[in-house]
Amino acid sequence: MRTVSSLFLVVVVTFLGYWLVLDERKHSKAIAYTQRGDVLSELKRYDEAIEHYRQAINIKSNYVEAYNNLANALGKKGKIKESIAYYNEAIRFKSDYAEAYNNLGIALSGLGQFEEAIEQYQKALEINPDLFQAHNSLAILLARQGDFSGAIEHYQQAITFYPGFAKAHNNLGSALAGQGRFEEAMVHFKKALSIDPNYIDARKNLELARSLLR
Amino acid sequence: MLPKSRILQVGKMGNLSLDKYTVVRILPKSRSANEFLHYKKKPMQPRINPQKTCFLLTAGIFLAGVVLVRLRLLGLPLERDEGEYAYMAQQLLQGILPYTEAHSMKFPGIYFAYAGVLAIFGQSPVAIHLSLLFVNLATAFLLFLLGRNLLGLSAGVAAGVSFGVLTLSPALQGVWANSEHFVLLPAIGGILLLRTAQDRPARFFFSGLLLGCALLIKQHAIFFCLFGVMYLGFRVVTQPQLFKKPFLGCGLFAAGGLAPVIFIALLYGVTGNFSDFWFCTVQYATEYVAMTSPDSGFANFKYNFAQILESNFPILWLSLLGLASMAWRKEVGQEYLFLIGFFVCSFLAITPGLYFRPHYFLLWAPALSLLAGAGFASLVSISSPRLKTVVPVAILTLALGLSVLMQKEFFFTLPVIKATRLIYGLNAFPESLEVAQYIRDHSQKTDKIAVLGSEPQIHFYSQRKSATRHLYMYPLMEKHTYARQMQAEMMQEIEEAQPKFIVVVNLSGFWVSPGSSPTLKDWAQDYLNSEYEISGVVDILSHEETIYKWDERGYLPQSRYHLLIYKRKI
Repeated sequence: MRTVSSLFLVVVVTFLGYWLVLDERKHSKAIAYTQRGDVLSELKRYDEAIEHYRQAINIKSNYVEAYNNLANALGKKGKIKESIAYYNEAIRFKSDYAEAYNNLGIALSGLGQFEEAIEQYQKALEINPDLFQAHNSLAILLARQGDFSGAIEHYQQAITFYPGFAKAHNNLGSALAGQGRFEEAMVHFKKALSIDPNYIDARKNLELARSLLR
Repeated sequence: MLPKSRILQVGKMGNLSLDKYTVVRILPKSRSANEFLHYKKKPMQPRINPQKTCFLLTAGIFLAGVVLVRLRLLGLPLERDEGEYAYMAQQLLQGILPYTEAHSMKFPGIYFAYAGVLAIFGQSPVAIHLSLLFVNLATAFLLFLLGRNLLGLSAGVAAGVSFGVLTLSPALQGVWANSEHFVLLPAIGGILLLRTAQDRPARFFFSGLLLGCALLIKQHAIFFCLFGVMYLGFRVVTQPQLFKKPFLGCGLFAAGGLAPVIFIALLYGVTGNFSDFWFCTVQYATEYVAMTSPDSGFANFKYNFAQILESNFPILWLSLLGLASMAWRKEVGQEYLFLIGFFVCSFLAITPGLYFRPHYFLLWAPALSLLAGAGFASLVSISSPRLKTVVPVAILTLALGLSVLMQKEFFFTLPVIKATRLIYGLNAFPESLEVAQYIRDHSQKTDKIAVLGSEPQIHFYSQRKSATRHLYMYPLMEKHTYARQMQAEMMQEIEEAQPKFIVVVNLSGFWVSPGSSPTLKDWAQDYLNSEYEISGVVDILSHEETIYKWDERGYLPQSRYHLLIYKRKI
């Protein structure tokens, strides 16, 4: 009996190994298609990139990076609704995919669905609090809703994680100015300009803050 | 007066109706009673045993093949881990302790081992890979001894040769001198000594010492030490008759094991560098092993193990059979317990951090090879006695031959550069040689350089000190408590050292991950634009073609895989 069960175990493990090798081959192929898609996206050849991502998904139906990158490429082509569907697919397969939540937030924001976008950014930040882009995007929407203190908090988080984030400095300056804190606002406009001296919006905001302070 | 143990040994021969005192007189002092019996039977055996000769010849052919392949691939360019070990060893030979001028999370044993290699064989990739050949052969020999001790001669031979072939596999990156190879030699030596220790105190001590040395080479070896402790404990409890002084044996084993660790702690304490050592090897290392989620860890294991399985399935299938043969080979029950314990502990040794990098699997290879030896012996044991010459040779040839056949291109035909490309893609390992040559030709020995990437081999080849303690970019871009502090350190150290050359390695956005803060990248752009000018471009176009442009202005790299060599403006 022991011999029979041990031989049965050998057969089962052999099949398991065979499945593992086949799955790895599929995975390698899917990675290759996705990487090629990434290069094509970089070259702005989005139609070809989309085709490659779709091939990757055909080979490995739960390959989340391919869904996310396909959605990004579709977004660049202006097909935002379709891209939202693919971000959702990526999240369905990997519920802690912070980048996909962030990208979904951007897409929803693009369609004017701000409440839903805020929800997605918050989910992204719950998973990865270091995601400075999500802090900035969330802060922009909060400021739009008039929640300046919430916005300021997230802009500050964004520049804590990425001190060279010129846009976040400028946005933080704007939020502070919105609260009448012009001196503090000027510090951040100046910081944005020191990072990027060609940042026209920051220069205009600085001049406006100066004139309002007088 | 005869020693008690000898009288007891002789007593065992009572059923041969020999007078025990007569036997003691006949036996030379060094011979045991069993050896004496063997000695008496010897003249009756034929001088040449054809079964054994054919089998050993087959094993010898495979072992010679392993040596030939390793010799053919001696000139492989160093990969980044080898580069790190070689650079740190180079520094060590100049009297600079690891962690003082370069960070690494690995324990320092590997740097001492490499320093020995560089001092004996010279400072080149060939020298390093030649030392690997010796280390690998020595480990295979120790594994043969262990296998023979556990399961008999043929199983030992099969285990040793399987280890040689398995650890040659490109799927395990076995032809590069990774630290795992250097862990295995003392670890297997220590375990073998422990197995044969019994009442010899020196063996307990040296067994512990060797396992301690293995731990000092890489933290993962803690699981081999754990196996040693468990095995010793198990034997003391289940076979107390073998140990006259069990506490002495255990104490000596523990003393031997702790000796290398205490030595290193004292060395760093006395030289005032203990905090650097502690930060690198304990504090940061703790963060490093906690970064991968179980899901990603499982995916890593699946992906890398599948590749190993694909190219070595005959050997691994033999290992599986060895594991299953426990069911019908009841005569070796205790030995199977040893094998299973060793198998589990070796597997645990590849798990820290859940990265499951291909070369981590080398730590599992001895256990898999021993099980392959057991599988081989069990197959031979159930074969027909009339086929006793053919079966062992056929099994060994099939298992090892198929593995070799599946990897024949890498083993026998690919030139060293193409072999490197096959495993590491467009990583700049071959190009590092030429970059280092340029730097050496255009700088003084006292000049420093920096590499913004993870290519420490450039420091080793060029024999130029690093301007920063951070030889790798990975730790700076990962998500952990110390990442930002490390980035700030690197920027400050480079600005203070004003290195003559800075090499920026762009391997498809290699060292800046999308989720991480681009602070370092922004700093690098500003700093390089203001203080440096491009003096060389290495454009890696494909596996076959790389364009080198030295002191030529205006060349824009075409590939996403390229190196920019910046020279400090005068």
